Amino acid sequence: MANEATSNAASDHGHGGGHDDHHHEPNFFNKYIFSLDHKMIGKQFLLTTLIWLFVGGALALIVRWQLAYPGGNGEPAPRIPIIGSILEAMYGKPDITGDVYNMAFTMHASVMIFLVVIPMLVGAFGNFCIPLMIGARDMAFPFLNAASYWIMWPAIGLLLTSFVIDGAEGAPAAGWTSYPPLSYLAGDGQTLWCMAVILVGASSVMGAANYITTIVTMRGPGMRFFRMPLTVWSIFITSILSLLATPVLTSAMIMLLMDRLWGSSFFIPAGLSAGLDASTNAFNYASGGGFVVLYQHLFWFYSHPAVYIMILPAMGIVSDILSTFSRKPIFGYRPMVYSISGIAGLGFIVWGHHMFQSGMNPALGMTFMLSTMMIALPSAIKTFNWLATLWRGSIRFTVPMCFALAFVSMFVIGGLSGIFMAATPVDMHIHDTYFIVAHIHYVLFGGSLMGAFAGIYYWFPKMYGRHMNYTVGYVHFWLTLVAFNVTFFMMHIVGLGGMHRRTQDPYAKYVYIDGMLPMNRMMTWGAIILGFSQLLLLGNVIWSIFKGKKSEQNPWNANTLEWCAAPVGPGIHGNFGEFLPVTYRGPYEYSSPETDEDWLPQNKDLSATVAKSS
Amino acid sequence: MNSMRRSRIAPLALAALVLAGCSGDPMNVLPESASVEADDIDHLIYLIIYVTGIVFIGVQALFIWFLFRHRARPGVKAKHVHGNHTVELVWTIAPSLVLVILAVYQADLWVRLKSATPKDNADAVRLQIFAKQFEWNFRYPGADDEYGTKDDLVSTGNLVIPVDRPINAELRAMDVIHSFFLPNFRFKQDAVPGLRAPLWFRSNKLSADRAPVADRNGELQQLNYWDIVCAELCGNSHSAMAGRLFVVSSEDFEKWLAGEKLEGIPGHSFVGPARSTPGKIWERWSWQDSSAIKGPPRWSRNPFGEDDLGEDAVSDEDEDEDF
Repeated sequence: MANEATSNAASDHGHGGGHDDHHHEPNFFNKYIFSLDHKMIGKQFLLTTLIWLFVGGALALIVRWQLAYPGGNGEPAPRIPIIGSILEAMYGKPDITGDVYNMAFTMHASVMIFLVVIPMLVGAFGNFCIPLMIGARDMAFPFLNAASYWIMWPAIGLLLTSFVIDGAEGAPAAGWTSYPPLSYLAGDGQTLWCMAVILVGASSVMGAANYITTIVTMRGPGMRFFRMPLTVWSIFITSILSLLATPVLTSAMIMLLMDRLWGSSFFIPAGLSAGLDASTNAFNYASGGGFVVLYQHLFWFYSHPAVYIMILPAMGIVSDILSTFSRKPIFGYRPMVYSISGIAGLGFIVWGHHMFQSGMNPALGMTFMLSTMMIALPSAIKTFNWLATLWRGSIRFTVPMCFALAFVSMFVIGGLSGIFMAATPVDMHIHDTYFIVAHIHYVLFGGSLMGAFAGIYYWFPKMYGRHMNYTVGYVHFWLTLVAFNVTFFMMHIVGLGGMHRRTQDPYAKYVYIDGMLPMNRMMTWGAIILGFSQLLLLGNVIWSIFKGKKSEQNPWNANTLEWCAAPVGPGIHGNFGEFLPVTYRGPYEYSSPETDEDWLPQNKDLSATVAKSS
Repeated sequence: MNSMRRSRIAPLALAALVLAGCSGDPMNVLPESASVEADDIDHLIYLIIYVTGIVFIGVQALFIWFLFRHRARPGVKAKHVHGNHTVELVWTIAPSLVLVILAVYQADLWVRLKSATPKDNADAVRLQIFAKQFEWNFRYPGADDEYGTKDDLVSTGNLVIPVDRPINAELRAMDVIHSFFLPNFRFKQDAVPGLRAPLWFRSNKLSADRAPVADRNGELQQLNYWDIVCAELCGNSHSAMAGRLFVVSSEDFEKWLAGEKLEGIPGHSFVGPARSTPGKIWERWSWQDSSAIKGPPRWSRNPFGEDDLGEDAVSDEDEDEDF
C-alpha cells in the first residue's frame, strides 16, 4: 500500500512514454524557445523575471546610494560603484542627477511590478502549477499562453529603449504612477513606457483568460472546486481580478498617450499649455477640459487590485507550503477561499485610499477609509488560519518552508502598517513619506517575493527534476530576511519623522531630514547586502538546473497531483501519460488517521485498498 | 538622531504608556508638533501604534512559540484537524470590531481637518498658495480682503502667519501636481492643476520657539521656521521645492503686513498687480523662467487665440488673472 502511489506513478510513466511516442521529438526551438507546453512557458517566465529582478534591484541601489551618499557640505557625491559606469555609458556622466534619480525609482517600481512580481507569481507559477495541480494536460489555449509570454518581449524592448531614447532628461521619470501633468510633460521615454505598460497588461489579460478557462473547464476527474489546492484558488481569483482591472489601466494609458501625442486633453485642465520644445519655443497647446484627478481614479482602479494580484498568488503558494511542511491540513480551507474572494471583492472598492490627499472630495475619503479598514479583515483571517495551521503540526524547516514562514511574519508587519494609512487623519501625515515605502516593500518584498522564493525552492525539483542546493538556500534565506528588515523597518521611522519619498537630495533643504542621514546610510547598506544576496538565488537556480542532485518523484511527500500523479522530473508534454489522475479528496490530508503515513495523495484510491483488506 | 536611537528601546515602555493614556510623542519619532490638530493626529498615530503593537507582539510571539513547540520530533504526529467554526467566527468578529471602532473613532477628526474650514471665523487669515516648479508662492488679499487688487501682498518661498489664528487658504498648482506638506502640523494637501483646494490649519507655537533640530553630524541647529515641503513628485528638482513657514505673534503679523522689517523674518516681496493687467503677474514674479525641466509648462489665456473664452467662462471675481 505504501508503494502504491509510486507504482502508480511508475506505470503512469510507462504510459507517458508510450504517449510521447505518438509525437515527434520536438527540436530545440520548439522545445525550449517557442514551446506551447505550459511547463516550459512557466519556466521561461521564471527565468526572465529572475533576470529582471536584478535590473530592478540595480535601479533600487541607485536610489539608495544617492540617499546614503548625496554629498553636501561642499563635498561632491561619491561615484556609485559599478552602476556608475553603466550610467556613464548611457548618459555620458555617472552622476545621479535629479533626472537620473527620478528615472531610477520610476523604473525600479515599473520593472519590479510589471516585469518581476506579476509575471513571476502569475505567469511562472500560474502556468507551471495550474494544469499539473488540477489534473489537466495543458492550458485551455496553449498558443495564447505562449503569446502571453512573448508579448512581454516587445514591452521589455520598449522599456530598455526608454532609458536612452531621449537622454537622461527623457527617460520615464514621473514615478511608476505617472501622474499627469508631469507625465504629460515628460520626454519621449514616457511614451514608450506607456506602450510597454499596455503590452504587459495585454500579457496579463491573455494569461488571466487562459487560467480562468482552464480552471473552470479542464479540471481532471474528481477535481471539484473545493478540492483544488489554494495555489490554484488564489491564481483563479487573481485572474478574475486582472481580467476586470487591467483594461482600466490600459484605457488610462491610451488616454495618456493621446494627451501626449495628439493633444486630446483627457487629463489636462483648461488653460494649461506646455512648451514641449523649449529651444524652438514651439508650444503644444492643450485644449483643456480634462481633469488631473480622473487619471488617478483610473490608475488606482487598476493598481489597487494589482496589489492583490501581486499578493494573492503568494498567499496561495504559502498556504500549500505551510500545510505540506507542517504535515497538517490547512486550517480553515473554506474560510481561506472565502477570504481570498473577500479580498478580491473589496479590492475593487478601496482604490480611493491612495487619493485621500489628492483633492478628492473628503466625504468620499470617509467611505474609502471604511472599506479599507474592512479589507484588513480577510487578511487577518488568513493570518490566523496560517498560525492555526502551524499549531500542533510537525514542522519541517526546509528552505521553502523558511521562506513561507518569513512570508507570514513579514506580511503581518505589512498588513498592520496598512492600518495607519487607512486612518485618514494619520494618512495626512504619512502619505507620500517613507512610511508608505516601508509598507509597500513589506507587502511586495516581504510578502510577494518571499512567497515567490518559497515557490521556487518548492517546485524546482518538479520543474527540473533536480534539487537546489539547500545549504546555499539557507544562507540566502537568512541574508535576505535580516538585510530586508534592516533596509525596510527603519523606513517606518523616518517616514513618521516626515521624510518624504521620491527626493533626490532632501538633506540639502531640510535640516530635520539631514538628521536622518545616518539611518539612511544603514538602510542603504542593508539594501546592498539584500541585493547581492539574491545572486545566491540566481546562481543556485542556474547551477542546480545542470548540476543539482537528482530529485525523486515526490521529494516533499506532498499530496497534490503535480507530485503524486505526474511522472518524476520535469515531466512530459501532456503531463499525465495515458490516463488523467482521478482525485478522491482535498489537497491537504496530511497526518490523516486513514493511513499510517503522514500524507495521503489526492489521487490515491483508499476504497480499493479497504475492499481488498476486508 | 540620538533621540531616534533612543526610541528603538522604547517598545518595552509602551505597555505602561497605554495604561497611562499618554499624549505627545513618547517614542520620539515624529517631528515637533506645532498645532492642536497635530497633537490630535499624534494621539491617533499612537493609538494605532498601541493596537497594532499588541497584535504584532501577540501574533509574532505565538508564531515563534508554535515554530519552537511544534517542530518536527520523532514519534510525534501532527494533529489532523481541518478547522473550527467557532474560532473562525471569533477571529472574524474580534478584528472587525476593532477595525470598525478605529474607523468610527477617527472619522470625527477627519471631518474636522477636512471639511470644517472655519471660513466664517472673523479671526481667520485668508491667503492663496500657488505651487509651481519648484517654488511656493503666497498671496494675501491685503486690506480690502480681495485678491487681484493693488494692495495684494505676495511672497515667494516664505509664508508668514500669526499664531493661534486659523489660516483659511486656497491651494492651486500652476503646472504639475504638488503637495503642500507641513510635517510639524501633520498637514498635507495636494495642489492640483485645475482645482482650487480649500484648506485650513492653525499653529499654536511660534516658529522662533522651535526646538533645535539635529543635522547629519548630530549638531543641533536652531531654526526659526517650520518646514514647508513639497510631497508630490513634481520634476527633477522636487526635493529642492522647500518653503519656510514663520509663525509670529498677531501684533508682529500686522507689522509684517504693513511692511515693517522683522528680525529674522523675510519681508513680503512686492505688491500684486492691478486688476487691469492680467497676465503681468507671472512676468513680475518671473514665473516664466522655469527652465529646470525640459519643456517648461506655461499657462496661457486661451490656446486658440485672442478671444477671451476664459473670461466668459469664469464669473468669479478671483479669476482675474487666470491661474
